[in-house]
Amino acid sequence: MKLYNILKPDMIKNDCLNTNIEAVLKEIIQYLKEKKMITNDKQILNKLLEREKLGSTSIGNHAAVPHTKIKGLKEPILFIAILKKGIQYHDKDKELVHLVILILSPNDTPIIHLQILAAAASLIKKSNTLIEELVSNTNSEELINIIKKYEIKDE
Amino acid sequence: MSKKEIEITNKLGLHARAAAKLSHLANTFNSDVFLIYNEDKVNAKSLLGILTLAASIGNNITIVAKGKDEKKAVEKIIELFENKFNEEN
Repeated sequence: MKLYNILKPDMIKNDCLNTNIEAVLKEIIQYLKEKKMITNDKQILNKLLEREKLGSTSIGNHAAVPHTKIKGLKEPILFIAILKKGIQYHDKDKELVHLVILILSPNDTPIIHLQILAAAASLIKKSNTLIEELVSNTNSEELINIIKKYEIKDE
Repeated sequence: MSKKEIEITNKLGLHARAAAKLSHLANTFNSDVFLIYNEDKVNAKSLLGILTLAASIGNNITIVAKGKDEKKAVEKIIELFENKFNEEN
């Protein structure tokens, strides 16, 4: 599985100005609610924040993968926020997070959840120049093209 | 070199929390530790590496360690798998 195959242009943004994790996640969840992709926004935000308390989802190379499972969701929701200024995602993090890959999965499809997580990890692992390219672009189609370029590299 | 294969039995497979626990444990050993799944071999000390496997319940993983504490490393990691990453107790 590749992220660019399931990522829609209206699901990647480079204009988030919030500077802490809670505000960033809240902004994304509100956007998804406005798009009628989710309804129980407060509950989902709480679940995401609870998950971060169990252990940060910042996984290195300036990226984080906040995620939770939602009962009744028909298909996974993938949203990518690029944070130009970067945020201190977790107290213990040594580096700022610039790439937030949010994954909301149905609660009965653990294998698909693992595959999306694996695709995100593969992308993040590939290169530090990915972040540089992403933060300097704002056009959604262009952002997806950059992700695609890195995902099909070395294959 | 110490080596052992184990079947993943926790419901969620090697998801983020389990992978974090596994890499954290692997980092406590001096030995190099690897996970082999299908054609892929990853560093067990790397959270990102483990996540790229997308290994789920029912899949077999081979743990390989090489170094001074290789036996203990494999033993403790097998224990973590057997305890289902302490998430279903």
